[in-house]
Amino acid sequence: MQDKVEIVFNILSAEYCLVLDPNPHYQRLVKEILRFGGPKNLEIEFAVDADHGLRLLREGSMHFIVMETKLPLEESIDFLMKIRKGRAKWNFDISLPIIGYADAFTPQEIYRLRDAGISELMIRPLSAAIFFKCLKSASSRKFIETSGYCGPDRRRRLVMNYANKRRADDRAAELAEAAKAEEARLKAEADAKAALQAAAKAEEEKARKLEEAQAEAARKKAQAEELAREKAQAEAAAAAAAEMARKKAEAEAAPAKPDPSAMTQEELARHLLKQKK
Amino acid sequence: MTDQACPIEWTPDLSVGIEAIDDDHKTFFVVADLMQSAIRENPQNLEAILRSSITILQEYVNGHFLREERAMEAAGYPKLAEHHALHEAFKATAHRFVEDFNKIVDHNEQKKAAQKLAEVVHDWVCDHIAKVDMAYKDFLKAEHVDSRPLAFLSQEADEGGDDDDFDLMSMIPGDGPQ
Repeated sequence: MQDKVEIVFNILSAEYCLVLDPNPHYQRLVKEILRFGGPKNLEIEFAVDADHGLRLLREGSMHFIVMETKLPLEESIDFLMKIRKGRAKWNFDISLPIIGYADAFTPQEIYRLRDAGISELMIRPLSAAIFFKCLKSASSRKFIETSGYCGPDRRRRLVMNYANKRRADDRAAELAEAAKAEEARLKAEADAKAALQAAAKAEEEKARKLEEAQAEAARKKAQAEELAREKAQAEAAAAAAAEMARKKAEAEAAPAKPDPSAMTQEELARHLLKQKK
Repeated sequence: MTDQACPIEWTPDLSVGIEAIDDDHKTFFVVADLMQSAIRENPQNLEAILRSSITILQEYVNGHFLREERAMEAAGYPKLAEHHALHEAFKATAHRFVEDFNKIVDHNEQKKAAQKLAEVVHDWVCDHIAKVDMAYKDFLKAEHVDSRPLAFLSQEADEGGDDDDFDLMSMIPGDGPQ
């Protein structure tokens, strides 16, 4: 609760505010939000584009800015960067809180607005409670000015190693770490490629062996068929020889057939008579 | 109270004699008018404007009722319980309207529902100030009233609110490198 009281005081001490939004209905809504929770005598100036906003800022210092961030987006980012990087140029406080809003943001848009120096972002529908939470957070954020970035402290996560220390100081270590990571990534990529090649080779070898085994099996089958065929032929030949032998034996066992040419007249007559009978 | 009897803007005869409460009442008129003028002008992003107006209206309602009831309690106002019941009834009515509005997808139906809500708020505020709030006019004094801006009372009324629910920028991975 003590924290809240301190912030109430900070917010209530603001006297001038710039609202940058070309839509008159949102101008009125933001005005009511500020009236709802803000300092009673807050003076609000309305701008309809970035140039108009910068002109009003030059004419009189503001304590904070509330803006539509899709004026379009490029115009909003340009407006933010002109303020944040204009230390030597402007007579007003370049570290003032700037609260932005839009119907929706992509993560890329949030990164770009953050790196251009926005303090906090809100998504419509607008809410007075969220608006003042944003203003409270923006009021308590340190302002950073480096060669690469000017704007509120972008660190929103508590990292113990970075207490009172700039993360940019560890840039060399970060680069070495990144190079190491890249080297590991390349090695992993090469290993993966080699593993893929080995797998492909093994697969090829397996296919070749399978093909060889199939050919061998076919050859053996043909050989077996040839053997079987030869065996069948030999068996048939043996059977024929046996038949012939049997017939010969039968023939030999049968009485010899008389040869008429070798018979005497008497034997021939008997033979013919026998045949006639 | 009819439209004829109720002015479009807050007028001094609606004053309850306490600046912070009068300011709250003025704001109800302003938001109701803001919704009605947006509906009349029908801009391209009307739905977003109406949703924002309704969100703010709900926050106003919660903060204002808390301010009044705390003041009544501090002053020992005898009709606090009745007044509280009327506040709760209105909150329920407004809540129903908002629930219904959120279910509507047709543009014209949304306009009709928002117009009705703006009229209900306007009429209720007029009627409530004239008939109910005026009853404490001579009872409550400025010292009984928490005069902080409504945003703070609204946040206290919304006890379930999460302090980190607004932090859109921490939802993206990675911090800036500074």
